[in-house]
Amino acid sequence: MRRPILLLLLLLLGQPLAAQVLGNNRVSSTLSHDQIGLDETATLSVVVKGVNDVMDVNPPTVRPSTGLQIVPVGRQVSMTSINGVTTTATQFNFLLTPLEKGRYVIDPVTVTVNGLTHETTPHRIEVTDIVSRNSSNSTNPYNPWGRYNTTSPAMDALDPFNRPRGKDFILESELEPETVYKNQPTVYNLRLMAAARLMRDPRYAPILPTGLVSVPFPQENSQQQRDGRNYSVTEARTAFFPMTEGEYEFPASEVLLSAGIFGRDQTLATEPHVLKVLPLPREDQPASFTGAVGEYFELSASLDKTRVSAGETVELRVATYSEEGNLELVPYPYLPDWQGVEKKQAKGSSKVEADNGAITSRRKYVFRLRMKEPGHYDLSGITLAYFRPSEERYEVLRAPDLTVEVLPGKATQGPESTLLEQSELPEDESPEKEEGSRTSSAGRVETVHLLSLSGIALLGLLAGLLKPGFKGPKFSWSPTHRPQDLSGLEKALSALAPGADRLAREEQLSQKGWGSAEIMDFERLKSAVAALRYGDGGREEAKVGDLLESFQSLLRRAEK
Amino acid sequence: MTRCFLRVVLLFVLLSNFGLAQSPFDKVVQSLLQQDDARAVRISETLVAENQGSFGLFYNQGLAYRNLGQPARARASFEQALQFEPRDLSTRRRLREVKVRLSPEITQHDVAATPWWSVAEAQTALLLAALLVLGLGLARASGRTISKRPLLVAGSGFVVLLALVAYTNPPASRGVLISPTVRLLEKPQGGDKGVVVPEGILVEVLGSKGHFVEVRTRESMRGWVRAAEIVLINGEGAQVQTNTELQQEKKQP
Repeated sequence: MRRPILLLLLLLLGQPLAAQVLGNNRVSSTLSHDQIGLDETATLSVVVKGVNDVMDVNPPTVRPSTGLQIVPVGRQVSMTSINGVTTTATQFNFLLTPLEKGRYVIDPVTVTVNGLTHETTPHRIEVTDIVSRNSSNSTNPYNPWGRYNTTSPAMDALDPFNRPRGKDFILESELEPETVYKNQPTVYNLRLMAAARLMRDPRYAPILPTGLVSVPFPQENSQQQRDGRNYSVTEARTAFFPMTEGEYEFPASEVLLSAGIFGRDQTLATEPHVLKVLPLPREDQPASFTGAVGEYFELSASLDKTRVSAGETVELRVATYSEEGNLELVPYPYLPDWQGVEKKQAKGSSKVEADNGAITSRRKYVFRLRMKEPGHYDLSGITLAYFRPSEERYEVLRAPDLTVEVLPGKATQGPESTLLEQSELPEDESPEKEEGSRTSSAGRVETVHLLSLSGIALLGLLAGLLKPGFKGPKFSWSPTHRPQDLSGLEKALSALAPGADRLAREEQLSQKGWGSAEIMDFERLKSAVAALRYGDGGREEAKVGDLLESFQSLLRRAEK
Repeated sequence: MTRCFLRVVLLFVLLSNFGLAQSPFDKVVQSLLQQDDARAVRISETLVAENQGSFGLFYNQGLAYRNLGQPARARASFEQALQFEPRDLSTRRRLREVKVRLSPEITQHDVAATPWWSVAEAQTALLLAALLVLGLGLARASGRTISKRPLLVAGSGFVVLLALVAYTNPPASRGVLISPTVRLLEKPQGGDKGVVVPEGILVEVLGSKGHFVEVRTRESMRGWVRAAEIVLINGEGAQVQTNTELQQEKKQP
């Protein structure tokens, strides 16, 4: 009787205590660095303990808001069991990328767990100039040594006793094989061996050469003895599939370590590697080859229905499995042109895994088949040809033959596809039957062309707008401008001799050196202009021309 | 007599075969009609490599790539088809489909697309407008009774036309990024540093070095990509630089 009471008492006392502990430490955050260079990144990790169903955590705000970019880079769920007590934790990672130098405050992250709101502590980070530690030393959230064993002995340099054997840290990389065929995997292995204690997790930026599809292996930890010393070995392996032939450079991997009691940094680097990718042999390449490369493949095919009405859709599923190959690089298996069968590839599914030292991939291809005519259809000849690098030859797998019985039905004439199919079918399937133009016509109009045409147009505008007479006195008669109409002529005459009466004009023209005959003609011309201007204007057009000519000849005579 | 008869029969057979022989383009069309898209792609790639590109060929190649679920390559083919027939509505429609399939926001990252008019049309229209302005201006300057209004109208028309052409003027050389993992590398050499850009976007091609091509995005980001990760859409000839050609280029000193 005493035992249950004691247990109840313990439970009652223990419960609030446990709740308090969980409540205080349920959500925490850690910042990988409090100071980084402009070319580095840092990671903010928010750990939510005790639950694994937190949907999402929003990135924290940062002050000042510009200059530091924070983006979520995934989550990790871990489960630890100690003495039978299982603890679950979800870690949300955020990548901090500096854009400007300065000091920043990262505000607390708010997480709601079971209706309760938790806040983490704020963090401060300083962004300094670019750190010139060789070429690459950026940190990465996907640190393969996140749970590195830090129980190794201290560094050589800080050890008062001279260690006679081996280095404290060794970083090695291997690329195996260094010559592959297109689509054949090569494995890059980065190995960190540590025989000394590390003050914090190593910082490492994984190499990601372009033009290759990468599939990472899980990290492996082990112990190894070398030169008489025990090393903790951490290996990060990645399989790379080259998509095209040529040479690919794998740059040196670098790891920044912080070791010793003062946490002194040191950078370890490996040698770069070059991967040579050979084209697949053309000789003996089967006609059904669609790009599969690997050591072992399996192929099977099935139909969702074996008896359908004419025009109805049948789904053909082709399942493939590969070892040391990547089926995501194989767009489709080979399907023969079955008479009377329309086929259309639909979305399938695929998965590539790298584990236990092997790369496996599975892919399910889905095709929609439609037979318009009733009858018995033999769907044979589904094949998957693949290149086997170890044997340097092609092999062909053939799926078991399938048959479909198509019964006469209402759907013989065609447009009875399902809604799903119709939505997937493009609007117009018909190919272009005419070759059409063989000369490219569209493209860029050269800037020189645009500028020269603009110049021509500008010239026209200037010439037109600066026309004589366009802007009052400026465009009226002058020694360099000829009058063009009656008004211009009148102005020209007035400009030559602005006097109000005949005597005054005679005086002015005489001063210009005009003779009496020219002066007489001038007065005659002026009278004619006045008569025409204030007269009936019946033959105005014909007369203006004559008067303009007379004026020009008078000027010429006067100049002489 | 018999020998002569046999010769005639042989000649007849040869001639009939010659008449029935299918051109490679017809094979592409037939492959598409038989829904053998892979074969259509194979034949069309060979024809393109042999510099026999045409509007129909690129259009059909685009259809085949689209059917094979390769929208980025399909886009490149349709873009090349537009180089030949910029006003072909069918191609424009197909192009829009594959762009939506790539990403609805892809247009935001593209450099200027192929305009609806050809280079010759744009140049002729601009030339005519410029000559009209020049003619009116000179006529007015030489004393013809032309009011200011037609000159200004013609001038405004030229400016509008010029602005339209300049705004829609595509870069001299463009390309479509066909790799889903393409990065803009800082240098024309292998590496892992660079901005990841979306698959299928249209970029400006600035130059090439070895098997790397320098590109610039609409956001003015510059970088190098592998030639295998891009399909070039050249203004002249609209050829695709195949891997084989690139290999050959690489071998040449």
